[in-house]
Amino acid sequence: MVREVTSAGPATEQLTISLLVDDSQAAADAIQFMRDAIPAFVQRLDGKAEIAIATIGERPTNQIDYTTSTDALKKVIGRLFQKTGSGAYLLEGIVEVSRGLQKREAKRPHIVAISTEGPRVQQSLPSAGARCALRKRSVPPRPRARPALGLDGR
Amino acid sequence: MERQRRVDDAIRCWRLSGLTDRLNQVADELTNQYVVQARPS
Repeated sequence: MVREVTSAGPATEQLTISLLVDDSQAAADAIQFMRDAIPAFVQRLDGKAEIAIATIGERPTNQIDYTTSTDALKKVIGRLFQKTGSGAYLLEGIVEVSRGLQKREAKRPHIVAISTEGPRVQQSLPSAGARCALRKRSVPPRPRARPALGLDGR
Repeated sequence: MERQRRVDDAIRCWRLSGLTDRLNQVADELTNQYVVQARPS
Protein backbone atom coordinates (compact mmCIF):
# COMPACT_ATOMS: atom_id res chain seq x y z
CA MET A 1 0.00 0.00 0.00
CA VAL A 2 1.41 3.40 -1.00
CA ARG A 3 1.04 6.33 1.38
CA GLU A 4 2.03 9.89 0.65
CA VAL A 5 4.80 11.16 2.90
CA THR A 6 3.97 14.66 4.07
CA SER A 7 7.11 15.41 6.05
CA ALA A 8 10.36 13.83 7.20
CA GLY A 9 13.10 15.10 9.45
CA PRO A 10 15.30 14.41 12.45
CA ALA A 11 13.49 13.63 15.69
CA THR A 12 14.11 16.54 18.04
CA GLU A 13 11.95 15.79 21.05
CA GLN A 14 13.67 14.62 24.19
CA LEU A 15 14.23 10.90 24.55
CA THR A 16 12.79 9.11 27.57
CA ILE A 17 14.85 6.03 28.30
CA SER A 18 14.28 3.37 30.88
CA LEU A 19 17.47 1.44 31.47
CA LEU A 20 16.93 -2.06 32.83
CA VAL A 21 20.02 -3.56 34.37
CA ASP A 22 20.44 -7.20 35.29
CA ASP A 23 21.93 -7.46 38.77
CA SER A 24 20.91 -11.06 39.35
CA GLN A 25 23.27 -13.82 40.42
CA ALA A 26 23.70 -14.86 36.78
CA ALA A 27 25.05 -11.42 35.92
CA ALA A 28 27.79 -11.54 38.55
CA ASP A 29 30.56 -11.70 35.94
CA ALA A 30 29.03 -8.86 33.97
CA ILE A 31 28.51 -6.29 36.73
CA GLN A 32 31.97 -4.77 36.45
CA PHE A 33 31.59 -4.47 32.67
CA MET A 34 28.24 -2.77 33.20
CA ARG A 35 29.78 -0.32 35.67
CA ASP A 36 32.33 0.56 33.01
CA ALA A 37 29.97 0.72 30.05
CA ILE A 38 26.82 2.41 31.35
CA PRO A 39 28.44 5.72 32.41
CA ALA A 40 29.70 6.19 28.83
CA PHE A 41 26.19 5.48 27.57
CA VAL A 42 24.53 8.07 29.80
CA GLN A 43 27.28 10.58 29.06
CA ARG A 44 26.67 10.16 25.34
CA LEU A 45 23.00 10.96 25.88
CA ASP A 46 23.70 13.96 28.10
CA GLY A 47 21.29 16.78 27.26
CA LYS A 48 19.31 14.60 24.86
CA ALA A 49 17.48 12.23 27.16
CA GLU A 50 15.88 11.78 30.53
CA ILE A 51 16.91 8.41 31.87
CA ALA A 52 15.66 6.16 34.65
CA ILE A 53 17.46 3.09 35.94
CA ALA A 54 15.83 -0.03 37.33
CA THR A 55 17.42 -3.32 38.28
CA ILE A 56 15.79 -6.68 37.65
CA GLY A 57 17.53 -9.04 40.07
CA GLU A 58 15.07 -10.66 42.50
CA ARG A 59 12.34 -8.23 41.39
CA PRO A 60 12.15 -5.08 39.27
CA THR A 61 13.42 -2.27 41.49
CA ASN A 62 13.50 1.38 40.59
CA GLN A 63 16.97 2.78 41.37
CA ILE A 64 16.48 6.31 40.11
CA ASP A 65 13.50 8.02 38.51
CA TYR A 66 13.74 9.81 35.17
CA THR A 67 16.40 12.47 35.35
CA THR A 68 18.63 14.45 33.04
CA SER A 69 21.40 14.56 35.65
CA THR A 70 24.29 12.50 34.33
CA ASP A 71 26.06 12.76 37.70
CA ALA A 72 23.09 11.31 39.57
CA LEU A 73 22.84 8.45 37.10
CA LYS A 74 26.55 7.69 37.36
CA LYS A 75 26.29 7.55 41.15
CA VAL A 76 23.57 4.93 40.88
CA ILE A 77 25.59 2.91 38.40
CA GLY A 78 28.58 2.96 40.73
CA ARG A 79 26.45 1.30 43.40
CA LEU A 80 25.44 -1.67 41.23
CA PHE A 81 26.12 -5.02 42.84
CA GLN A 82 24.88 -8.49 42.15
CA LYS A 83 22.03 -9.72 44.31
CA THR A 84 23.33 -13.05 45.50
CA GLY A 85 20.96 -15.94 44.98
CA SER A 86 18.52 -13.91 42.89
CA GLY A 87 17.04 -14.64 39.49
CA ALA A 88 16.46 -12.09 36.73
CA TYR A 89 12.98 -10.71 36.05
CA LEU A 90 13.44 -8.97 32.74
CA LEU A 91 9.94 -9.50 31.37
CA GLU A 92 8.36 -8.29 34.58
CA GLY A 93 10.68 -5.28 34.50
CA ILE A 94 9.69 -4.46 30.94
CA VAL A 95 6.01 -4.67 31.83
CA GLU A 96 6.45 -2.33 34.81
CA VAL A 97 8.48 0.33 33.04
CA SER A 98 6.17 0.16 30.01
CA ARG A 99 3.27 1.12 32.26
CA GLY A 100 5.33 3.97 33.69
CA LEU A 101 6.24 5.22 30.22
CA GLN A 102 2.62 5.07 29.17
CA LYS A 103 1.50 7.11 32.17
CA ARG A 104 4.26 9.59 31.51
CA GLU A 105 3.04 10.02 27.94
CA ALA A 106 6.65 10.18 26.82
CA LYS A 107 7.12 11.45 23.28
CA ARG A 108 10.06 9.20 22.44
CA PRO A 109 10.00 6.32 24.94
CA HIS A 110 12.60 3.57 24.82
CA ILE A 111 13.61 0.69 27.01
CA VAL A 112 17.25 -0.38 26.93
CA ALA A 113 17.79 -3.69 28.69
CA ILE A 114 21.16 -5.11 29.64
CA SER A 115 20.52 -8.69 30.55
CA THR A 116 22.08 -12.10 30.69
CA GLU A 117 18.70 -13.69 29.98
CA GLY A 118 18.49 -15.32 26.60
CA PRO A 119 15.96 -17.19 24.46
CA ARG A 120 12.98 -17.00 26.82
CA VAL A 121 12.82 -13.22 26.60
CA GLN A 122 13.84 -12.99 22.96
CA GLN A 123 10.95 -15.24 22.00
CA SER A 124 8.37 -13.76 24.34
CA LEU A 125 8.73 -10.10 23.43
CA PRO A 126 7.93 -10.20 19.70
CA SER A 127 5.00 -12.55 20.34
CA ALA A 128 3.66 -9.96 22.81
CA GLY A 129 3.73 -7.34 20.06
CA ALA A 130 6.89 -5.52 21.13
CA ARG A 131 9.10 -3.98 18.50
CA CYS A 132 12.57 -5.12 19.46
CA ALA A 133 16.06 -4.38 18.35
CA LEU A 134 17.99 -7.20 19.89
CA ARG A 135 21.72 -7.10 19.84
CA LYS A 136 23.75 -9.92 21.10
CA ARG A 137 27.37 -10.67 21.06
CA SER A 138 28.12 -13.88 19.24
CA VAL A 139 30.12 -16.51 20.98
CA PRO A 140 33.44 -17.25 19.32
CA PRO A 141 33.99 -20.85 18.23
CA ARG A 142 35.50 -22.96 20.94
CA PRO A 143 39.17 -23.48 20.15
CA ARG A 144 39.80 -26.97 18.84
CA ALA A 145 43.50 -27.02 19.42
CA ARG A 146 45.68 -25.02 21.74
CA PRO A 147 44.07 -21.59 22.24
CA ALA A 148 45.82 -18.66 20.66
CA LEU A 149 45.37 -16.53 23.76
CA GLY A 150 48.00 -16.66 26.45
CA LEU A 151 45.42 -17.83 28.92
CA ASP A 152 47.78 -19.27 31.40
CA GLY A 153 50.20 -16.36 31.26
CA ARG A 154 52.81 -18.25 29.24
CA MET B 1 40.04 -29.08 33.46
CA GLU B 2 41.82 -26.00 34.78
CA ARG B 3 42.81 -25.03 31.28
CA GLN B 4 39.22 -25.39 30.07
CA ARG B 5 38.01 -23.20 32.91
CA ARG B 6 40.48 -20.51 31.84
CA VAL B 7 39.32 -20.78 28.24
CA ASP B 8 35.70 -20.38 29.37
CA ASP B 9 36.63 -17.39 31.52
CA ALA B 10 38.46 -15.77 28.61
CA ILE B 11 35.50 -16.30 26.27
CA ARG B 12 33.11 -14.81 28.83
CA CYS B 13 35.44 -11.85 29.25
CA TRP B 14 35.70 -11.40 25.47
CA ARG B 15 31.92 -11.36 25.12
CA LEU B 16 31.40 -8.82 27.86
CA SER B 17 34.17 -6.49 26.76
CA GLY B 18 32.06 -5.44 23.77
CA LEU B 19 29.34 -3.99 25.99
CA THR B 20 30.69 -0.42 25.90
CA ASP B 21 30.80 -0.42 22.10
CA ARG B 22 27.32 -1.83 21.81
CA LEU B 23 25.82 0.66 24.22
CA ASN B 24 27.55 3.48 22.35
CA GLN B 25 25.99 2.17 19.14
CA VAL B 26 22.58 2.12 20.79
CA ALA B 27 23.06 5.70 22.02
CA ASP B 28 24.02 6.84 18.52
CA GLU B 29 21.00 5.13 17.00
CA LEU B 30 18.67 6.69 19.55
CA THR B 31 20.00 10.18 18.91
CA ASN B 32 19.88 9.82 15.13
CA GLN B 33 16.24 8.94 14.68
CA TYR B 34 13.96 10.42 12.04
CA VAL B 35 10.29 11.18 12.12
CA VAL B 36 8.31 10.46 8.98
CA GLN B 37 4.69 11.51 8.68
CA ALA B 38 2.37 10.16 6.02
CA ARG B 39 -1.23 10.72 5.05
CA PRO B 40 -3.61 8.14 6.46
CA SER B 41 -4.32 5.34 4.05
